[in-house]
Amino acid sequence: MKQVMVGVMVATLILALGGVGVGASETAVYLYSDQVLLHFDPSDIFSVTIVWFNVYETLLRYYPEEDRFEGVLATSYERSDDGLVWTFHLRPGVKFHTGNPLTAEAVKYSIERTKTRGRGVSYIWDPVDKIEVVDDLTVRFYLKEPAPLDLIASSLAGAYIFDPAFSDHEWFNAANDSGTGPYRFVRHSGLEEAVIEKFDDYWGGWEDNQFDVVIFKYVPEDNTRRMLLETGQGDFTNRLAPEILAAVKDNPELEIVVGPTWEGSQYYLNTLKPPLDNVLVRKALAYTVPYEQIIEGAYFGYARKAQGYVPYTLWGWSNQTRIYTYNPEVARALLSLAGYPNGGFKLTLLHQLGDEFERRSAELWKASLAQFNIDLELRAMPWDARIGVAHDPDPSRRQDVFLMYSWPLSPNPLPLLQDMIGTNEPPLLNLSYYSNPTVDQLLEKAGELAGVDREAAAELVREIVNITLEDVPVIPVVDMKRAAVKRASLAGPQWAFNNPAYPRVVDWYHTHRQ
Amino acid sequence: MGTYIIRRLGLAVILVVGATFITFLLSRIVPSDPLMMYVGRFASQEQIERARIELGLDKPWYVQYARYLQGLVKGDWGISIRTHRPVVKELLERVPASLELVLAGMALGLSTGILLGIFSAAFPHSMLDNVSRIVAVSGVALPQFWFAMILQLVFGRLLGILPLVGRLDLNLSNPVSHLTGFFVLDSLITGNWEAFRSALLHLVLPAVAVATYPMAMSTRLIRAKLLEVLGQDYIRTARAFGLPEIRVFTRHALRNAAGPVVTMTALSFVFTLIGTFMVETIFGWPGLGSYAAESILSNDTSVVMSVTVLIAIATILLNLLADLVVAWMDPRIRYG
Amino acid sequence: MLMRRRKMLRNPLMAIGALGVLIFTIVAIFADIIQPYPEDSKGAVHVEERLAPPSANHWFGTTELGRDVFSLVVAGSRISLVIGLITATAAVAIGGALGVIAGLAGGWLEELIMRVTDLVLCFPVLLLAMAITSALGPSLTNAMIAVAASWWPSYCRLARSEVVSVKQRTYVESARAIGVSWLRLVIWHILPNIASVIVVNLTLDIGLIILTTSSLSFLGLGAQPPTPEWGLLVTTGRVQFLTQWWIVTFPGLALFLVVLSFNLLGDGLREIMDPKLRHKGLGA
Repeated sequence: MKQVMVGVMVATLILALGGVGVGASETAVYLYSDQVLLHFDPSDIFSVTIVWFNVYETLLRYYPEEDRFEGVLATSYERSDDGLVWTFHLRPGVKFHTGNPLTAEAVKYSIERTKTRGRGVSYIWDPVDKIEVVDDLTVRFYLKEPAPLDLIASSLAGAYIFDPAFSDHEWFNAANDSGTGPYRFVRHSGLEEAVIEKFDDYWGGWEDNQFDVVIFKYVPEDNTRRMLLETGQGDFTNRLAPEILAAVKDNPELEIVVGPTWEGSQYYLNTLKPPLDNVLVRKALAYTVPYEQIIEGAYFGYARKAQGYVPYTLWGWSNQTRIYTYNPEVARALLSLAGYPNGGFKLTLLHQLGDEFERRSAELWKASLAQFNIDLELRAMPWDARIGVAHDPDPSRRQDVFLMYSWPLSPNPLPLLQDMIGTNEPPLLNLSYYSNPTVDQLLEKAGELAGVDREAAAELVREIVNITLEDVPVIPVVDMKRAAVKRASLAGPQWAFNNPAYPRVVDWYHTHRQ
Repeated sequence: MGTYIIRRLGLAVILVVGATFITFLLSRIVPSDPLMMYVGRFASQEQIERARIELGLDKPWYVQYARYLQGLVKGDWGISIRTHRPVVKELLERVPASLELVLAGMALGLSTGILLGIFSAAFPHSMLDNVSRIVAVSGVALPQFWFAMILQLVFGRLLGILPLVGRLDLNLSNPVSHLTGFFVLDSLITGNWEAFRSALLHLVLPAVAVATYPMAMSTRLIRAKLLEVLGQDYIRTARAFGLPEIRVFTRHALRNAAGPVVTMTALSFVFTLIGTFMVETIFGWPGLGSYAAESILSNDTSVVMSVTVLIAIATILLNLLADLVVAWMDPRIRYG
Repeated sequence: MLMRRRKMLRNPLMAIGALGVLIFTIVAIFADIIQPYPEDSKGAVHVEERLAPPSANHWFGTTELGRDVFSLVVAGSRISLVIGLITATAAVAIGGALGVIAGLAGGWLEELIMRVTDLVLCFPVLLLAMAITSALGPSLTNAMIAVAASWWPSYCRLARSEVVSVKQRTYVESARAIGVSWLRLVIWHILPNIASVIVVNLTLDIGLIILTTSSLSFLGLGAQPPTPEWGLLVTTGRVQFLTQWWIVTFPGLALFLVVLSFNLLGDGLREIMDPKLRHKGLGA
């Protein structure tokens, strides 16, 4: 009898010890409000990057709130005085998921392939004339004109480095990856679900408490995402409708992650169509926008009044930038000066079908304009239909006001400004059809400076924005704030959950469950 | 009969071609710039031009239409402008989910409707009859999108007994194997009881929302047909012969009323399918309907055209089928 | 007189329907007076009062921009009435005209018109209306055009079959023989005959037309904000409706009741017209 009892105790002990040794696989679930994937080819990816950020890496990454670069695949870099030659030193011991080592040859190949394919946002590499492999771990870029290559190499897309030996387009489309990131792509289900899993030989090494598997799921309904978070079936979601956020605030198991983003909302005024061709009218309109009311009523507080066209925390933003406030008296005075003392005209505004923020913002402005006897007609349309109207070859058929969200592709305000207020024919995204040669010249000069002296470039950007704001072809409204929700048990630094340079991306490698 | 069939088939083909033309026409009127959606908003002018050629949008409209028809016949229904994947592939992924929902909804609706209609005809102008008639009319008058939301509110949120959205729980320990694409069936076949329960529970509310129209239609039709038949002479004869009422009802009345029900089922199938557009959107049901609704809202013309043509073809075929069945049953045409 | 009253009593549902339509019409006509906060349905915003549940001040609560839902619903009734009347009239006019022409003309013109009708009927109404609206661009007017363009076929068929059957009657042949013009025949003989059928169908259809147009607005293809159209109200309330249920519930309920009333009325009218439906069932 005693022997049996000892036997049972020993067996239990062994089982218990065995249990301690076996670690359960840590899985995190990201509930996304849109499709989680669009492209598989790293040279083509240009928009949805929440999965790929963890699978592919770039030479550098940028952390705007600290204004610093992090060496990812490159540990250091130098730039020649004229800004035309950039040399990057690669990190040793990095392996691709395929087992091959990272070399300068691979970097050269990846970037050249992206350029040649010409898809996605490959044109960010346009300033590059030639790439030279100096040695296994050193790569040198020769530029045609000065450009901020460190910013370009930190772009949210178009700058991924992958294994040249495994770079066939069809191979990528068959859901394979040849990246260097902490996770490798395992499988997907349509565009709605993707699973990535820990890459054991990641150069950063692994701790016990990190996630082994991350699952990305497309859950379109806000209420469902909320429910899944509350029951612990999801760990993070990039957004919840603000009305629902209010209810979530009191839940101790959940945490709202608030941070700046580079996504801003602006009203583009058609400078070619009367009465908006009159700068006084445009200025008056800038004073009629109920900014605070929009932040509260449309964004429920999760936005910041925009100052200029450069988003807050991106270099080039300045406190010295001119600001327009809601001021009915000034608006009325300006309207009188322009010849419309009692308003009396109608404007059409196009906004995005299905976007509640845009709709509410537009309705709030409409209500405000009513007091000036200006009729703002709202039309909700899908994106390409709006663009179709805005690009109508007959300018008289175009809209008066276009409500737009803008965001930069890389941590560089210049392409954003070029798109927004630079002379573009065809207009592409310059939907105020604004054209100012002074501004164009200054933009070009700033572009040259950006690669050489960023401080000077930032000064110039401020000047450009202030000059343009005098003409006010575009009324800046808000910079949106990220209001993501995560489980309180999901821990990590703030920048792992919200980095304006990489919108909606979570750096899963730097998070863990506590 | 032979000539009739050939004539009807010929007509059907003409209609199908006409349908593709109308669809094509509509898609070309849309004031849209699909290129900027296809290549993304940051695209450069060269990329846009290249995409224009790639998508064949630089050719005149009749060339585009000819290519489009060619593609339809060969099975290449274009690329979705939004997702860059072949439309046929995406449609096939979505069809099982919609079929499961429509069939479940129709089965539910027809069975309740027929029962209600029978009792209604048996006791006309009674309380039951009046209630069933209100129910029948309501089924047609009900805004399905609103009804779906109310169901969610009451059963999902307030009572909390049924799931709000989707086809399955998101974290099943054993995922369902994709055999037929009908999750209820697949989980049953593979003996995956957890998934079966989950799939069934998720199917309930959407099926109820979809069932309103077929229920309304069948109640009304059965009641009308039965009453009509019951007023016929041969029924009076049967009664005069002393046949028990139940016999009269089941043997004679029901049998004669059955025919039109079949035709009505076929014809209302498409209408019910359209109803699922909104039900799927509300319940996050990943079927053809929500796919079509999303695509219409984002002006994904290749998808919208494909769905429209698909449904038009389905309507034409079902009408053809219904006509043929009626003709077959009508001796004047069968032997004429 | 007695017969009619007996018919009414035997059909309380139709009476309910008639009552519903009457209430709806009155509310729509006097909407401006009935609304407690008329400026809300014209686009006023009161952000401080947003998302308030139903209370004494706001019987149906407020929206996310602070508008009184009761006022919005009342204002919406007028919009729905206008939608129903105009679109239905357009559909009847187009369909009826084409049908009469087809019936009178015969030959290839009749074939052509009827084949086009068949073609349009291949597309379910909502689908066709969705496609047309997105082709024309989302707006209430375009939605109404789209619905009318999808709805006329049934009236075309109706009109044509009536014309064909009247054409074959001997008195018409005699009238033609003595030289009575087609126009007179159409006005004095054909139209009165189809009128009753059309009225019945119209009553049923007005409700369904309102429902279809609201469905388009629900999808975002119809009325634009801040128009207080019922379908649009439901869709703008959708995101938060599990917690703020009133924004979706009341407009949808109004829509349902109105369509139901038209349908009950129409059904009742149809029963009166159609003798086959008036039998006694079991145990005759």
